Amino acid sequence: MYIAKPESKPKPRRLLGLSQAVIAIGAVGGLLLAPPAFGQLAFYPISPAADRALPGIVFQDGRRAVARTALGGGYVMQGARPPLSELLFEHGILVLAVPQGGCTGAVSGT
Amino acid sequence: MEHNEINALRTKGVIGIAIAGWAASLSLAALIPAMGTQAFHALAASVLLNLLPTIAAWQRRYDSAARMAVALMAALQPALMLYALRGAPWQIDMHMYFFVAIATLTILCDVRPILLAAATVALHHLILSIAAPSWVFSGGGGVNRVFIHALAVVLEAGVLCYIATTLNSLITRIGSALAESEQATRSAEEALRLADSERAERSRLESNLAARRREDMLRIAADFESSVSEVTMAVAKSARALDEVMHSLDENARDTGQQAGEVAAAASQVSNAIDAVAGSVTELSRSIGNIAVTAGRQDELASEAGTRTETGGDAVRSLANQSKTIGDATRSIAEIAEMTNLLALNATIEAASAGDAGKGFAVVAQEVKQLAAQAARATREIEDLLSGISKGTGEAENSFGKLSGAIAELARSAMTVRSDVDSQRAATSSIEQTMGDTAAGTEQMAHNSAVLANRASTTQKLSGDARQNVKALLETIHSLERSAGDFVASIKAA
Repeated sequence: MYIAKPESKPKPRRLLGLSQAVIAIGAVGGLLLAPPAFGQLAFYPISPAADRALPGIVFQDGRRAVARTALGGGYVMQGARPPLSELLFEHGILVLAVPQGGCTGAVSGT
Repeated sequence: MEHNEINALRTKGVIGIAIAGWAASLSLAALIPAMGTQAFHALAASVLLNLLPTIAAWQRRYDSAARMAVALMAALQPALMLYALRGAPWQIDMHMYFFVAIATLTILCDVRPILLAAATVALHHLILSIAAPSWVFSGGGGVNRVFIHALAVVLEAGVLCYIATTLNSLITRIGSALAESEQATRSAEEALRLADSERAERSRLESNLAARRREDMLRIAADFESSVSEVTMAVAKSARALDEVMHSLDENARDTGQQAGEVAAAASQVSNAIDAVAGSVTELSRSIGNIAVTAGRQDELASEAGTRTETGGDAVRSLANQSKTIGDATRSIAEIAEMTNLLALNATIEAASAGDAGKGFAVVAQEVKQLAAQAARATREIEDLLSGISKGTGEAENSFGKLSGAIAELARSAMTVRSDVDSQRAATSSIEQTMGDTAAGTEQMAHNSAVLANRASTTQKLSGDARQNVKALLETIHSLERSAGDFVASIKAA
């Protein structure tokens, strides 16, 4: 017969459940913001150099500007998504999905 | 207190659900070629959700936090499948796995993970049907479909909660019964083991007790033999010492009787001598009485002699005074004779002046002159006699003074003698009393000596009897030694 070990660490018990809840929320939220391969994408510069390079990059590959983002001085573009790692590590640009009604949604047309 | 059986089942459930989570991740990985980036994102989220449940399973945890973490993971893995199959025709079929996941949580025997998973699924459907409908139902399902699914989840959760509760209760009761049975088995085995142990212990104790009893008997016999030997030796030694003491006592009693007889004879002689001394002391007392009477008479005579000596002294002093008076008269006569001689001289001168007429007168004057000379000589003779009388009275007065002193000394001596005689009379009286007491004591001593001699004779007889008894005691001791030896020999042989 299998006999389980007695409980020996009572303190981290609640921490485990809370951590799992945070991970779950983060995972689902991350999925909400995960940029699709094609569709509406929000480009956010996260450095002054990226801010200067952003207009030249977002309009490559036939992407079409839909609007400026409500926050952060980014652009909402319609089109194919470039490789995420290249944008992030080479140009300092963060790409996110644009859920309907979110803060990354377009505020004005171009 | 929860039973180990439930905890074991929960641990197995945590491990199994964690494995199922990784199976879901593998499925998502398999979907990546077909579904592309969205399957990859779902896989990443699935791996994240699997981390903590996997750690809990690795640590064999089954506590409520581990159960809740596993429940959350199990509820969200089908949601990731829906996300990965977004836009695919099979997306709707993935809803079946929500029910599978919630049903799997029944193994945890706890309603809380089931309720948490059901609530998570319901919230997932409600929120995403509004925020991202394509994540839940392809082409949108509307609120009605969400409610249909939610109702199914609620019903399933209710049934599963009932099953979990019942399962928990059953396992608890089974565990209790099993524990009681095991306890009873252990008790019975313990009782059997104790009985065997006690039986073996009793047998060993009886064997040890018999051996110890024999050792004790032998030791007691040896101790008894040693003690009896020591006692008999000590008693024999004491008896021999007592015999010697009795012998000495017999000799002492004999010597005491002899010396007591001698003391009685000496006391009798002393009593006779004391009687003789008492008679002499009585005579001495009588003689001292006579001396006292004589001393008293001497005292009286000394007093009378003193009185008479004083009277004689007074008479001599009166005679001396009268001699002085005679001396004064004699000196008057001598002055008269000198004046008569001077007158005769003058008459002679006158007679010579008168011539022949005065011759007769001159003869008378001559005669007067001769008478005056004779008177003067008689006076000188009287003075000489008075001088001798004065000297004699002085010597007599002096003699009377010395005589008076001697008589006073004699009187004091007589008083001293009388006082000494009185002391001697008191001393002789005390001596007489002491001699009487001494005589009585001597008689008592003679009587006591006779009693002592009698008792010494009795002691001598008793010491003889005691020596006979000591001999009998020595024989008894020897008999006791023989009996003890026989007793010890019989014990050793037993």
